[in-house]
Amino acid sequence: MENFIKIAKDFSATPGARYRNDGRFSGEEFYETILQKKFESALKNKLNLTIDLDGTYGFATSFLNEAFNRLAIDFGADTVWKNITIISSEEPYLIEEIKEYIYDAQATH
Amino acid sequence: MMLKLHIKWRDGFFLSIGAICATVANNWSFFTFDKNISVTDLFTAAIGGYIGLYVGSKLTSKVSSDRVEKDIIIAEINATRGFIARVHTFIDSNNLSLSDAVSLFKTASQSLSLAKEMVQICNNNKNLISEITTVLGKVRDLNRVVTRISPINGILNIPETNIIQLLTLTRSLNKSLFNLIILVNRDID
Repeated sequence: MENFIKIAKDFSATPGARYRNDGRFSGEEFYETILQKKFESALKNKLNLTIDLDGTYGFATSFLNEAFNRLAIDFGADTVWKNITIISSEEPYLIEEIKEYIYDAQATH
Repeated sequence: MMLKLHIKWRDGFFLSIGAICATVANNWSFFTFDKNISVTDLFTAAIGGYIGLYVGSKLTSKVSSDRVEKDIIIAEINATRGFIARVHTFIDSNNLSLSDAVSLFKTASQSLSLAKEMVQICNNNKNLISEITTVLGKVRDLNRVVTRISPINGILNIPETNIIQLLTLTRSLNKSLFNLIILVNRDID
């Protein structure tokens, strides 16, 4: 599906840290290879992008912070938050954390 | 057939006590013994006995199911303690990999969330739920501090000065989890 990302399947079941030089499957890599393009495409097609976080071994704060902070810097916090849906039944609190990272970007930039 | 009786001194003692009690009761005017039993009395005794047995069995069953529920909740909290203890050991030896950290924190949070759900289902004790929520917040805070650190070759590069601080946090979290177990066991209201 064009407007759907399941991180465990489309990227990795073991997401890594923040930057590419921190190791494999970083937040930076996820943003640049998947998230940015999918979000751009969803916006263009006036669709909501759904991101499913379930099925991984867990997320580092640095991974989520890098990916969603950069998304908000590039597209604007409100635009991002209005146009994404996060699925996280295994760790529901991650949805609030991601919202925080998105709006942190607005506050710091 | 020969019937062998083994009478010990204890049996003799209790028989004597029984005989004395019967004699005293028979001669004491306070008690009057009537050989006729009315149907009403018999009925009252039967109903009384039945109610006694029913209440007794219900109470035993309630106490037993409460104990089982508490044991399951405590097992989940203990599992969380185990995960946090592993994080503590890894930090102590400055050998915590990012993959271990994220996975341990995820499972720790899930176990504690499960304990919270069980309390909600079993007795919905508001104070206990609030305590578990607070401790769950501490697990997430620690997760956010630890997994924000950059790894080198997969191992989190924790500065020496931060190790003591993180160990203090894991100890404090362990204490909070232990206190939770006590609260569950006492089932505070």
